[in-house]
Amino acid sequence: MRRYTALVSLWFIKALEYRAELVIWAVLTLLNTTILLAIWLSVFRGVSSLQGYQVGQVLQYFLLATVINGITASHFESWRSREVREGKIDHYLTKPIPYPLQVLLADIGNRSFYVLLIVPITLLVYLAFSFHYSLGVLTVSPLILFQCVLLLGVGYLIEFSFAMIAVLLSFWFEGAEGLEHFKWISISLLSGFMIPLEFMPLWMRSLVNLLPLKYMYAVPIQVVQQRTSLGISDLLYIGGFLLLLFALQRWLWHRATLKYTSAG
Amino acid sequence: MAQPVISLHHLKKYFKVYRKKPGLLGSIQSLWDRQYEEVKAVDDISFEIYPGEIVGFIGQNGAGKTTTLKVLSGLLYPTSGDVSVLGFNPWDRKAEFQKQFALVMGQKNQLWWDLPAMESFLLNKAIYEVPDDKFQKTLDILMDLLDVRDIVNIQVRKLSLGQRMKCELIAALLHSPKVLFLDEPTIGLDVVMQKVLRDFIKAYNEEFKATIILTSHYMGDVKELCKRAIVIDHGKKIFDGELQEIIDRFARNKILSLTLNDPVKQSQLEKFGTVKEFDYPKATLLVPRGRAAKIAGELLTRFSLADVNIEEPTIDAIIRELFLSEKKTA
Ligand SMILES: Nc1ncnc2c1ncn2[C@@H]1O[C@H](COP(=O)(O)OP(=O)(O)OP(=O)(O)O)[C@@H](O)[C@H]1O
Ligand SMILES: [Mg+2]
Repeated sequence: MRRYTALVSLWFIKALEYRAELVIWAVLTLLNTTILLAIWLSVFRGVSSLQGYQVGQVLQYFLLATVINGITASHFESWRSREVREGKIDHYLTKPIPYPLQVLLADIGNRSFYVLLIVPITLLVYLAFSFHYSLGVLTVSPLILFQCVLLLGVGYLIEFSFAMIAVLLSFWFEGAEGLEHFKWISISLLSGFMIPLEFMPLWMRSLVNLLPLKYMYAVPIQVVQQRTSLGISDLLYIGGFLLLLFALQRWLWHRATLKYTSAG
Repeated sequence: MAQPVISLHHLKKYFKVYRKKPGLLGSIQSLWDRQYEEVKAVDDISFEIYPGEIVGFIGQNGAGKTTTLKVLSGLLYPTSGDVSVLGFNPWDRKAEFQKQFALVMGQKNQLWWDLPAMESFLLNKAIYEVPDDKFQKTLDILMDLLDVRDIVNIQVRKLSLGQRMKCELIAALLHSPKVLFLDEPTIGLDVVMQKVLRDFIKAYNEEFKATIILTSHYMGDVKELCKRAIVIDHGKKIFDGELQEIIDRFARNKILSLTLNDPVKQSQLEKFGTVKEFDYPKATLLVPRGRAAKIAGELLTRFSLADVNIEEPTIDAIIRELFLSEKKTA
């Protein structure tokens, strides 16, 4: 266990060294939020409520989405894929911790720093907005809190798995970096990150309801806004989906080790 | 005799590479018609290495040295053949195995570029689960041997190549590996630094009884460190034995260096051997090994010489001979 915490803390230190990059990510994330908020404010101009949302609740929705994004989103697939292709992972592979686990621990360390950076900023923005608009009230009950923490973990694992799958595919394909965009688009549209479920066309809404990506943004926000609550079927679905992702990564990793050519 | 630490039987590693015609047309054509080609990087190599040996692994560029070391480290999955290192299949990548060896590549660093080397040392300490007291002891020994105390807290990217290589070695050795694969550890270093690293490798071998395979293009490394050498060429082993044996077998000539007192014609010298260099008053002659002393004596009676020296050819020259003779027989 100690070696895992050591790895996490060293990657935290490294993230400190690379803070400029993370600050840029933070700025981009906030920019994204600002644009979304501006769009939704104009949508709500002159109307007090749409699809069961008041303007304050929609703003709250996207501010919460930003917080979730700051905590769960992964951005390592490009540089990790490049490392694989350029044969730069040799040293990771000779170490007595499996490479995917090293990637996970590194990401946790890296993320801890990012979360420390982005969450306070977003909360400040949230506070600023709450002076101007009546954002929905935040009720904190143990049950809501539990569901939120659980779903944040789920969201993180889904994000991580998608990124890891892209990295693993780069053992075969050169363009695996392109998968980052694919991930971004599919998550943006199908998780409720860009549009709350209630505002989607009906066909899209039923699609999103079928898919598990809603557990990343739409569901946790609905939980906070007390529009929904997790049931047993949700938990089973989440568990099954995570298991599937895990099995896929395991299988890909096994094939990848046979395939690795260690260029250079 | 003891059990071998490393054994290879009929190891083959082929790479599939794809050949693209140059230019845009070639790129377009390769969309549907990819030309694959097999590169036989390692082509049926067998050898065994025993505890405590330092073996020099010699071969020209592209001979297959690095590929062999990567297979031994479990990075590459072999095309065929049996490999055992410390009783493990390297590509099973068992943690017990990985804790007992280290791979150092002059070309690829493991140290974190933007952090001081010390952070990477601590990382390895954690990953390899080295206990505190043992870590401190090993680190002290290694830092003293390599004299790096004042640079381990400086960002790695601000170090010189030689300083970085020293730190690379320390990072690789903190878990006291029993088996060491060194792939061109002295590449790009000046002669002084090469010597420092050589002495260090020798000391490490003696102190920890480690088994070491070393590749290098600097024959000085091999000559000073390795009793035994394995020479490979185009993925095939062409020699395996004592380094001295290569010298005896392939160094057919010795070198006579003369300093003349009076001018002579080159043709006069040519009667005694092949004139390698002639730049009055200095001359260099290649003469058959067995007759070197006799010829030197004859030269002394024939000409007025200020100085005469009999030298062994450099090991590089000998290896060149070896490759040339291999080409002729192939
Ligand atoms: N990842 C790879 N993919 C395809 N071919 C490779 C790969 N790695 C090595 N090769 C080929 O295998 C052969 C052996 O390469 P290797 O790196 O083992 O040589 P080497 O003896 O270490 O040479 P050098 O002294 O230049 O380091 C070369 O022809 C090289 O082009
Ligand atoms: Mg090499």
